[in-house]
Amino acid sequence: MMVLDLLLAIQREHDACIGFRFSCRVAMCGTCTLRLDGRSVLACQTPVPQDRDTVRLDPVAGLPVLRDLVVDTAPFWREWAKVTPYLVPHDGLTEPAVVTPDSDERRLIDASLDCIGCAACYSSCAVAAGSRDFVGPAALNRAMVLVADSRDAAAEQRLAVADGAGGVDRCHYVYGCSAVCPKGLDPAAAIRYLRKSRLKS
Amino acid sequence: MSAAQGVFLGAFTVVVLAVVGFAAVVLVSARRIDGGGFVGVALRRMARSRRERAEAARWAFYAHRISGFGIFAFLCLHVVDVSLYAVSPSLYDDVHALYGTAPMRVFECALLVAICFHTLNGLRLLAVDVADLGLTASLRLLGGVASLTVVAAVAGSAVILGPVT
Ligand code: SF4
Ligand code: FES
Repeated sequence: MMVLDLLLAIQREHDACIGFRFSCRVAMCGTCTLRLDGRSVLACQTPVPQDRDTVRLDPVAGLPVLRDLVVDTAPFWREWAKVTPYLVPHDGLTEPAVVTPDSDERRLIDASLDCIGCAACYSSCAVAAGSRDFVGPAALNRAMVLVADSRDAAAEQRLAVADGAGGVDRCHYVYGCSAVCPKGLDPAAAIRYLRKSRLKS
Repeated sequence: MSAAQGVFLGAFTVVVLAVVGFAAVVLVSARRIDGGGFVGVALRRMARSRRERAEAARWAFYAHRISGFGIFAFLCLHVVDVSLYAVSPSLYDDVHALYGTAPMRVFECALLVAICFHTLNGLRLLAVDVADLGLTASLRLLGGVASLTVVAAVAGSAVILGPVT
C-alpha cells in the first residue's frame, strides 16, 4: 500500500475534508510530494512503512501551507523562472543541431533531464526550506541542463543568476536534494558543475 | 576574585548564553525544516539505507553553523582579553589566571572540539568542490572528519586537563 492509498483511505473512511494533492499516480506530475517521517517523498510511489504502527505525514517544507498537506508552490516556481528554464536558441540557425548520443554533453544532460518539478529537493534542502534566499536545487539543476547544452544561447544570464546572491554559493552540500529526488537526479552535482562553469566563464 | 575577573566571567557568561541561544534557534528550525529533525528520527533514518545517510551531512551542516558561531563569539571576547596586555600586563595575568581553572579547562576542551570539527568540515566542503565529490564520497569524508575530530579532541583534552586531574 502506498502513502497515497493510505490518504485516500483516510479520506474515504475517516475524514472527507483532509486536503492533499495528486494527479498522475505514476511519478510524472510531481504534485503529491509530502514528508513521510521527515523525508520528502512522492506519496504515490512510497510504500507505507510496515515496521511501525504510526507514521508522521507533513506537508512539503519551505513552502506556505494552504491546507493540511497542500502547499502553495508559487515560491518554488518563482525560483524556477529565475533561471530562464527553457531553451533559447542561437540566432540564425538553419540546420538542426547535432548532439551525438555518446558525446560528453549528452551524457551530462541526459542524467539530469527528468525533473518533474515535485519540489522534494527544495523541501529537503536545509537552505532552501530554511527560507533563506536560495534559488534551490531544482532550478539550479535545470540551469545546468541548459548551460551545458551547446544549442542554447542564454548561458550567461543563467550563470549570472547562479553566481548571484541566492545562487550556488548558498549551497552547503547538505545533499538532501540528491538523496530524496524521486527521479534519481543529482542536483548537487549540477550545483558543483555550475560552480566550476562560473570559474571558467 | 578580582573585579577584572568578575567582568570577564560576566562577558564569558553572555558568550555562552549567546551560543546556547543560537544552537536552540538552529535546532528548532531544523525540526521545522525536515519534518521533526529529532536525533532519534535522524538516526533511525540513517540506519535504513545508504541514501538516507545523507542525513549525516544535514546534521554536519547544523553542527558547522553552531560551532562557527561559538568560535566567532568566543573569539570576540578573546580578542578583548588578550588586548588587556596593552593596557596592563598585570591585569592581563589576573584575567588569564582564570583560563587555568578546572571549569575553564573543560570549556577549552569544548572549544577544541568546535575548532577541530569546523576546520575539518570546512576543508571537506572545499574538497567536495575541488575534487567534485558526490554524495557517497562526501559522506566518507565526513566519517573521516568525525573520526579525526574525536582523536584530536581526546588527545588535546588530555593535554588541557592534565594539570588539573
Ligand atoms: S530535481 Fe528531483 S526532487 Fe527536485 S523537483 Fe526535480 S524531480 Fe523533484
Ligand atoms: S500523483 Fe503524480 S507524481 Fe504522485
